[in-house]
Amino acid sequence: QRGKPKLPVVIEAQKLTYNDVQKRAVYVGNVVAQHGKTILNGDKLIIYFTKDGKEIKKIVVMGNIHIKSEKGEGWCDQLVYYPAQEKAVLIGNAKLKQGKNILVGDRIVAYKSGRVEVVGQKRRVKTVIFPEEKGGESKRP
Amino acid sequence: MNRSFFYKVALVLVALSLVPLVIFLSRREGPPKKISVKVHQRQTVENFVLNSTGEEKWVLKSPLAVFKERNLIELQSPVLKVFRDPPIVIEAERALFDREKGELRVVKVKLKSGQLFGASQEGTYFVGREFFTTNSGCFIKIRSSTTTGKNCTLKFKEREVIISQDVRTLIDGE
Repeated sequence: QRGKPKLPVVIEAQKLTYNDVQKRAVYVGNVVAQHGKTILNGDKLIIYFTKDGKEIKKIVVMGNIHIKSEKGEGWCDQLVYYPAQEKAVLIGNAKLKQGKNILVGDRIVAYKSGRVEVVGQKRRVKTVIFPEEKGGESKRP
Repeated sequence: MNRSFFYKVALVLVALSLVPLVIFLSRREGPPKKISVKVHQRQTVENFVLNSTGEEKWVLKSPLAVFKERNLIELQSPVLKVFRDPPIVIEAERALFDREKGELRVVKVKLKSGQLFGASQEGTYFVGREFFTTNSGCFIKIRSSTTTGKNCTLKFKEREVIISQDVRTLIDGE
């Protein structure tokens, strides 16, 4: 993705506590975060910055979580989002809806490309789904 | 008999004429109670400089300071520098410094400390505790992120920012 402009992250909430020693920002209360076309909702959102405080390492969301992007939308108990890779990890009662497909598991990893990994210890469900190419053809491994 | 009668009448008249004088003299107010009236001159100082005396090292400067009271100083375009790591610099359009409480109440204020820059319409900086608080709106920039909101507190010692209303943050390109 060389040359592709980096996308800003916008967060709205009721309250913010930022600590420059820990390089961490905690947002609480109706939190909405947007990164490009990905929108995260939750009760609490924590941003972990890199040591120099300039970039986001990861974003952790808790409580009433909902994530929506072009590729689909998801729900879970806890979500970890990596803006640099545009990767989302849905943890605990994870559910992802892509078009008509609904994937359920203990942990779902959704990649920017649309590729998804579903891991299910409790329900022994494990699904790998490849995005359909334009024109409806499915891309096989 | 006539003489003594007239003599008595004269005596009575004389006595009666003295009564108003006695009343007048007795009604005259005593000297006014001593009231201590604060004698204060509105002392104005140009190129005002005030250095800290306590543990915290700071200096407060202003091109024009007016002493409203002994410990209450009105300052035009004040600049407060707190010598810590990183240093804190607070500039405002005007301020009221309460020397006794160690509070600098500022209007149209800018605060800088290391990577942090803050601005607000008004607020109070507590000199001893090194923290600033405002109930009005504020703008905070820290490296690649800018945040706006209301009810903001900047704790310089703890290097912590708390905004407790209407928070909106923009973090540049991820």
